[in-house]
Amino acid sequence: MSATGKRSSSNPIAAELKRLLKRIRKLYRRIRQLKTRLNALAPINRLPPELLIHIFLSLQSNFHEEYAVDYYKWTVITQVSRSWRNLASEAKQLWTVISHDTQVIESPWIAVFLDRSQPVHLDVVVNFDLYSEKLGLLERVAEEKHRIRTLYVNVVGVTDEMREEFRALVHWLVTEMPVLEEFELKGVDEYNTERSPFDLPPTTFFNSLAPRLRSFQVVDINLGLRSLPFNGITTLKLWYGEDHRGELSLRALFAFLCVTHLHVLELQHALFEEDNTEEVDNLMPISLSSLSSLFINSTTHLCTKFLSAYPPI
Amino acid sequence: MAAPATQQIKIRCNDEKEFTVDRDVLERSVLIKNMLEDVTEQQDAPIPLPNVSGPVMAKVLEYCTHHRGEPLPSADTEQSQDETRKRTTDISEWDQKFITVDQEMLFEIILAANYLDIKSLLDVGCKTVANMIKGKTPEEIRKLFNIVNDFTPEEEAQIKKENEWAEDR
Repeated sequence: MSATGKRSSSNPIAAELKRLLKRIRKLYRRIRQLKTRLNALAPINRLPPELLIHIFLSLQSNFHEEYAVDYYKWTVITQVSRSWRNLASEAKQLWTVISHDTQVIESPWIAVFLDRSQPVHLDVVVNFDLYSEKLGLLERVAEEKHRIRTLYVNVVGVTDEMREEFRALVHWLVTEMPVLEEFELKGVDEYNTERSPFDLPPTTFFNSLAPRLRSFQVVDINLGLRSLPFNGITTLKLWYGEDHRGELSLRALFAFLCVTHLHVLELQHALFEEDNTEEVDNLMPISLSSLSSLFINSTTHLCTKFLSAYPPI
Repeated sequence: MAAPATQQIKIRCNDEKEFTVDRDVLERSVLIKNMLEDVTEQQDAPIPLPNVSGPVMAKVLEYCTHHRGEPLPSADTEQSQDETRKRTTDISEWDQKFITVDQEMLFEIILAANYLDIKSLLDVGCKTVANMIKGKTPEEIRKLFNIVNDFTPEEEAQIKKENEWAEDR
């Protein structure tokens, strides 16, 4: 048999193989379509899409308190079936809570979340570990700061180099954040609990930069302020270690209380003693009727006076 | 003038099952509350509820009776939206016991709560399903809800890519 004859005799087999493979692929597609139809009949899938999304949101909120590496486990719903995956992907509100840990996250999820949540407001939790070199994704989050509604930042790290890095990273806090409502910044100095490890720039969140800011909380972060520049807030919490020198003068606090309507005020070792006590005496008493929660812990003489003038609310 | 709280109201489900219930119990349902407010004269005819069956309504009424007198959640205020955003999956002990039913009934209760506009019951139902999902693998979830894997090979590859970072952690 000639070489040409061999080729021609194998052609029908090749053609048959091709035909069978095509048929198999078609059958696989058909089977998949039937599986999708089967899934539509599952009792849970008889719930309308908005109720399934309600369930997904309940699941997602269950993970809010988890560390970033575990937070994303709620996305398991995107691995169950095509309909769940499509439904979840299109539900913008599911993707608005971003939990970022610079030490552990290399996942593609941050970018996915930022894309899928467009243009809805974001709630962002960032754990900065300044020992980590994986800070790139944070810059991606910073690009979306115009739609960040709540921002919780925990910082771990102590060296001068890290402080420099921190300063660079928080630069975006002093630019415009038009929808920011809640801000919390916590600094953790693992080796030196007697001092605040980080400073915030003095221009942080002036009213014009964050006009919708309602809640401002810092723990062990130097404010570098002599007055509080945000009049619209209703919650102010400044927490420091026992030996902290104080961030705020009582006079500045009074001035602030006169122009705002605080509901919650917590000051832990945040006040410092002033020289001119008489001047401050004249400021008392002012109305604190808007306060529903007051906590002040300080060793200063004036603070004792303050508390005696304003017994627990 | 508002009707007295002890007024009895009749409702009729889609299987003709009728219930006579105290008005304040029924008013846990925003749908029925609005219907009653729209009716100026006292009516003897039962309120038709074409989307709820008798057995499901009996469960719903058990819930409403237990929670009668509790404040109703406000409409879509800024605060309630905020609470929604921060909702947790905690369910009270009584609610947990109440909602321990088979899947078919659980989904029927969720549908009824949605139709009748009983937000707290809807939340309990959805949280219960969320708790059933939590901690399970995709395969376990499929098995739990009678779902089969219908992903294409390309989608499977994409899912694998999305999640490989989390493996070994």
